[in-house]
Amino acid sequence: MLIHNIVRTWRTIVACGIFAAVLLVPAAPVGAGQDGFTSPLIIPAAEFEASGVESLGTLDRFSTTYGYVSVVSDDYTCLMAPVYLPSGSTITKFEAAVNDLVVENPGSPATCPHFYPDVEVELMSTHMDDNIYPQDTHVVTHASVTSTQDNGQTHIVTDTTISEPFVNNLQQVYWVRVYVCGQFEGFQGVRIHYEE
Amino acid sequence: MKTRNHCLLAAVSIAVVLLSCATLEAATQSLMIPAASFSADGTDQYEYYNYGDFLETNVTLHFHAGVKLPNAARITNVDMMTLDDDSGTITMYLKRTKFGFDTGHETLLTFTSPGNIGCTTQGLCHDMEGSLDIKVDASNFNYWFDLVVPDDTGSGTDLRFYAVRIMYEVDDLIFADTFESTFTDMWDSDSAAKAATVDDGGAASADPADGLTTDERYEEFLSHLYVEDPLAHEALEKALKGVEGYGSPLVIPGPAFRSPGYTEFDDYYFSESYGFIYGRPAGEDGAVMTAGLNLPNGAEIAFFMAFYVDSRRDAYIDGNIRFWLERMDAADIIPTLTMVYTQTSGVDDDIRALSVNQSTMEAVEPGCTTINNDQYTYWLTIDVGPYDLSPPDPYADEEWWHKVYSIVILYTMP
Repeated sequence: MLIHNIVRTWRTIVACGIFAAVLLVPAAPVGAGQDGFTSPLIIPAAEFEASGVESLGTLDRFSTTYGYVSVVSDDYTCLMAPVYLPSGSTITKFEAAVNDLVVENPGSPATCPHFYPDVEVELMSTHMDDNIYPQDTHVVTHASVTSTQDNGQTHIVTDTTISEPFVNNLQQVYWVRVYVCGQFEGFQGVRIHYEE
Repeated sequence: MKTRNHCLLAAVSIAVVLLSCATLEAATQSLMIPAASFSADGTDQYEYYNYGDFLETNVTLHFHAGVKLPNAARITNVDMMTLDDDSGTITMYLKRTKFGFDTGHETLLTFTSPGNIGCTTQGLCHDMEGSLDIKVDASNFNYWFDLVVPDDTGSGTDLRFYAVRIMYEVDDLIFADTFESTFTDMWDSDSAAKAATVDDGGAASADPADGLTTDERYEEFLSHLYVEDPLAHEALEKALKGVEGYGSPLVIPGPAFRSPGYTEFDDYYFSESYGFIYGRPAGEDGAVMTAGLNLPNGAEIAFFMAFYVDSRRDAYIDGNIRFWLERMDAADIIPTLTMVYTQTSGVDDDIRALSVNQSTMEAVEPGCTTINNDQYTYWLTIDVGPYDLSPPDPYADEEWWHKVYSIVILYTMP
């Protein structure tokens, strides 16, 4: 009898646990980050501004339907956006959502007059101290991706080999640089995974 | 049956208690996105002007701004603020697209300014969508505002977009927060450095790469900086080393700034290699640009800092870079409050940092350094003069530059 009661009590505890777990599942918020807190951070194309160097800010087109940036025919642009990540966090993965219908053919200047037959997206930072020359030593390319498909489909390209992944605000300012070439390339945004 | 009922009751009780714990701690936050954060589509750049606090156009134009909210935040209220005494109307959409997919957008909300109402004497017009329960899935979706601003059609009438305010709830039992909220633990300096300090019993460990401890590296960094105000230097050190109460500095890079449009729409450059802002060549206009400023509600600004290079000789006009930090009361648009106006001085090829301290800002208006996102919009404006690679004699062998690398806001939390 004693054993029977113990077994029954144990069954009840297990069953209650399962019930409680089932009831608690919906409590997990939609879209909870997989790798902690608010990570990953998505920076949409709407956050990007033309660099002014190549496009004079007049060539980029923001699609209000698809939320991506492209450029007018036969031209190219450089877009940039700020990156705000928590101090002390570690960047683990860098992704970009891009669209590319331009076959890599540098000999086809009518389609792509610059050197970027692929969409190129990079996570950069600049050191802020006074040793500015040579400047190269003060800029870090933490991650870099390029479009891998030329079929006009939006796809995600990923870099998990992050250089200097530790986020150090103040000493460094972080930004994303994008090159988009021709009207058949598009950029939808970046997604940065980090651990706190 | 009896056991099952007891079990169900117990499970429900446990779930209710746990859920209550989770939701009781939910905190309402606000994110104010001023006009300064909006970019125009590449068309008709001559036809609009973005003053930072508001924007207006001479033709119908689309503007866009990204929305960054904590993952799993719940949007409860969104308020579009305009000035509209014209027959035309401003329309704004909150949209989202799935990251990496071609499925197009979902329109989550639509806003419309009133048309012909005025609001100039009563403050801004508000189109508010309340009692919302929009769950933010920031892991998988891009969120942005699509703003459509037409030309005002009548003489003496105005159509201006000022800002949009998002009220949202976050569950602080489950999630940390981003810089918009009051939960700044994650922004509280270099946590890894602090962990290292704890691990080795108080002495920061050395990095094998260069043999320096974290503190030594900070000190080396600080020793390189030209920060004139010793208090600003000290505050930087506290922020770097994670002294309690000092929030992480909010570092606003060059690419956060937006073109103002109109005749100045192409007066700026971002260095594609280094990220700083610079203006046009000598003889042309400087770059005037704006950026929205988002700090946690309740934060107190301790220092406004700008990291820059100014190697133009002051004897020549356009010799200085100018900086503004401004605030607008969403309930009373006139006048805006200029919390900071400062400019560079002197000549140097190196990166320098200027600073404005809290007491200087408080002298403008007491209490203004305490951030109130429920009521105010905050934005930055910079005016970066031209560069000159062929200065006149006797400086012909020099290169004169104006560059802005970043604006840094050092703030403390109560």
